[in-house]
Amino acid sequence: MLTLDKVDCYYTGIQVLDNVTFSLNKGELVSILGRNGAGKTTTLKAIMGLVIPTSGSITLDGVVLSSLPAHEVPKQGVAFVPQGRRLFPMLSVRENLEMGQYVNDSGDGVLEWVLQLFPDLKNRLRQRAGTLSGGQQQMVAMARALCTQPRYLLLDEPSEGLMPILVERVLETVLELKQQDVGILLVEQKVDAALHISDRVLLLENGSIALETTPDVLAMDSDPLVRYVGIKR
Amino acid sequence: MDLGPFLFLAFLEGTVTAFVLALTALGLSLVFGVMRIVNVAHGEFFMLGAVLAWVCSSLIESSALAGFALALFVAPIVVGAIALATDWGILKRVKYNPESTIVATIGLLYIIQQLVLSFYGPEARPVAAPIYFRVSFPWFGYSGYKLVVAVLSAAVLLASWYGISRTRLGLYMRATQQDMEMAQAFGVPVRRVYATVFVLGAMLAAMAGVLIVPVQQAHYLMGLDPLLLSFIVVIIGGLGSLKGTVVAAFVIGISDGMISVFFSPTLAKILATLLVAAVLVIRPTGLFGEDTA
Repeated sequence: MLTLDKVDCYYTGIQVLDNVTFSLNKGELVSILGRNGAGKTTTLKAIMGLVIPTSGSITLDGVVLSSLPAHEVPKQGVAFVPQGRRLFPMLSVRENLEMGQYVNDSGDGVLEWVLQLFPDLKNRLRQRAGTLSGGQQQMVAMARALCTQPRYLLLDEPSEGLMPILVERVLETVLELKQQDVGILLVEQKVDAALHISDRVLLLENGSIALETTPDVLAMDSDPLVRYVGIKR
Repeated sequence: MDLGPFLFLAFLEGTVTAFVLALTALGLSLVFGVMRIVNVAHGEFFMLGAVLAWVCSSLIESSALAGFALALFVAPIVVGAIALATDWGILKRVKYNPESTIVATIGLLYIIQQLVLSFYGPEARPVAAPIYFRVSFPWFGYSGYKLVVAVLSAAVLLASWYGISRTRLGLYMRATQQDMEMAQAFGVPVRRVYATVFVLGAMLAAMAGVLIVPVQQAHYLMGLDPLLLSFIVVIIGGLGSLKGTVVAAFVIGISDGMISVFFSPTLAKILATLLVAAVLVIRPTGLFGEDTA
């Protein structure tokens, strides 16, 4: 179980996370929704150790992630698919995937599995990642994270800028991972799609969790969505 | 004698200069590229290599070859240790901030120079070439050692290329250069990569210093010229690009050799500087530099 306990984060004196507490189980899919600047990305970065909480703790199956240096976090079984893909643009697709494999020294079996999930990448292993199309880059970003053999996966707007058909592909993959008992934390602008596949939903406002609920409840009463995400349904 | 042999001599001189320059500049380029900091004291690592080569050769006066072999081994290790101490004691303290690093390494430059002046003295001291033979061309004889310098430099450059493009450390270095935060998210101990790059860069400079000293003599101010030329090479070649560094070193080295033989070394420097300006106007990231942002 991945647990955040009363996490506070500051960027140069300005509080961006305020008393954030929640947990994520194996095989569970939790969405974080909220307006721009609500602290969604910061929450994911805090888990990865890329933003250091000023107080509170983040633990993964008993290991205190928040006291580890950032480069040790992925070795505990958490992988990150960042917003905007953030591939290593000058490295080949193959090398990008190797970066994932090296984290836990996963063998070539992982590579095969990942290429089964994203068969389009097979012919592009030698191509520079920066020269791929947006959709292909998203596939590489997912594949790179999966190469670490994560037990928990953090996805920051994986559908951003993708054609609808690719959005579906990404979400299908996410569901498939969930089937394989991976715990997934999803930040997503496409609220309907996120609600469709989530088990639980966290609504974030000004750095704190305003409401923890489920898609079913929101289906009956969409007021919280209007209030915290700013959409009408 | 007509023009041909002169051109050939200038070309030979230029090639040797180019190889040593490529070695020196590669260290600066790696540090600049991966760590995004400018090491103004880089030339002093080169000078320390040369001075340590003199120390080694005076320890073993009986055999120039043994002294040279010892220097090739000892100088990079000692200079690497100094670089490690610098990383830990200075760079880490100023958090690799680019501006602070410039000021800090200027300070380091003077400290190293003055220490060498105090303990080694102001003289330029010659070191005998480890092997002496002349390659005779129809028009002139040429120092065989200089050709050995070129071959050894090429070997080190080749090893560096292998390390950067084919090993895990090299992959980590390139990943760190392209996106430091994501590198961390994929298990790269960025601080350790920084220290390693800084040490390796210094070792390359020290090796260049050892190789050049039988040609040039060891002197406590000899680090300035290679520093400036390395900057020119790095700017023309593009940050952190090995290919760019080698190509630019050859452009600068051979044109420097040619112009120095036919006109004057000063004109060579003037033209090199103009070349930098021209490259920066046409390609602000350098010939092989890529905007990784």
